[in-house]
Amino acid sequence: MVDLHAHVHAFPLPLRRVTAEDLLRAMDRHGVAVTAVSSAEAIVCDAETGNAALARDVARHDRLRGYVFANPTSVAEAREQVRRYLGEERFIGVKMYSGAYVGRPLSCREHLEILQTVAEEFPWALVLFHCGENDPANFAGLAEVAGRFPELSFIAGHMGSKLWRQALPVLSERANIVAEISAPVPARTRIEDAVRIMGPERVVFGSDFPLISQGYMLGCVRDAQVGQEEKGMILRRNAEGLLARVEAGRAGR
Amino acid sequence: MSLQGVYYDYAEGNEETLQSSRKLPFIIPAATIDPRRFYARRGEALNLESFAALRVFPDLQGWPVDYAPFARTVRAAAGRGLPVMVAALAPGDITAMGRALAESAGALVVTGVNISHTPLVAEAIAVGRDAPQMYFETSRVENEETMELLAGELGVGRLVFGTGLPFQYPSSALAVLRECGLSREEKTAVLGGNARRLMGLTIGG
Repeated sequence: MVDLHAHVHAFPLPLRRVTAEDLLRAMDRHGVAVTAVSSAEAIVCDAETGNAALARDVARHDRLRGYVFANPTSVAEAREQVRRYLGEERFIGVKMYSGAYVGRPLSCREHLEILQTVAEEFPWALVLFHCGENDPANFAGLAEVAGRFPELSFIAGHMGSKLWRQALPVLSERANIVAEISAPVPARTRIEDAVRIMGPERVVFGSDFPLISQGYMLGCVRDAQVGQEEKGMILRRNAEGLLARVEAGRAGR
Repeated sequence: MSLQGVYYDYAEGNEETLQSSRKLPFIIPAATIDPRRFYARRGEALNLESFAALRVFPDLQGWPVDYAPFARTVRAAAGRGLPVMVAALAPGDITAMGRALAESAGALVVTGVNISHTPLVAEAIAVGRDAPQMYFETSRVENEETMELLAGELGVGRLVFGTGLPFQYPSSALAVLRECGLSREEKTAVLGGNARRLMGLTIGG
């Protein structure tokens, strides 16, 4: 299995600071082979420090892949970090956010400037966007921005969260968006709806670890009324395809 | 519990629940009322004698928990020895529930406690420490550490298992409880013993 949405380090919540080793133990418990992570510290507090710590984590562990967090409050700094970390072997993309931690939408000028750099210099990179604000502007903004950068692959983290029924039809209109299933509300039919609306080849597994355990999200997949073939695509094969595309792009193939 | 009682008519729904529980002994009947309506109908009897709990739905019916009819509902249920089960939706809800509970001699079971979507765990602990008759249902507890934290801070006896069916995938809640660091005895208590004690039940194995 492949988890395309997890975090290490600490959130401002009553949870311990999570290390890469904590994540690897969870992966072993659940049979997850590879997990793609971003730094909670980078998102909520200090992008420079958090991204640097994440780089050390992924360099030590070959089952981890990294997303560099691009903070739109400082475009120059974000561009510098994107260039630095996407040049490292185990970084696969960029994490972007539009909620309270950054206070501006994905379609803002600063995010677009950062994405322009990514598109020009790292067109193979994945863009994991926090599409979980329970606000139609959040997922509509992702669809709009994905349309501006057709060369990039976007992952709709949480696929609209509680608004998944509204979000999925909008997200499905952009061929370069895949839906990532994690959400703290394990609402029945979310996964069935995603498979039906996006197509099974455009739905990927994510947990949002440590906020949501991998076991909690695997329970959702286990209960979903979709076929074993579709579950295999969600849990592993679709993500492997995205990671292969990243590797091929990085190698210039 | 009957969804007709939630969405349409709680008197009819409660009767449907009772009939089902008579046919299927593994069903523990929970009644529901709609606080928007119950206190507007003078003389209406609650007929709660055959139920083990009362469930109310601010989330599905659109009323706030900081709401006098809710506080009166908690008192009415306490007078009949029934715990009230209610969802926390936003920061501040559990605080308001604590006030309603303090005015009664009853028990509350709070659903919806989670840490990632709505950060309610710190509030649950802050209020729950001073409200020993406040219990927490676990279907939205989405990681093992939070389960262990709630058990450690409030006592494992304050946690009751739920799945959220038919609205939620049930295996998620079970996975977190199964994988958390509580002992086998503690997990058994969460899975059933605590709820049986709370509802005064002697059924089941």
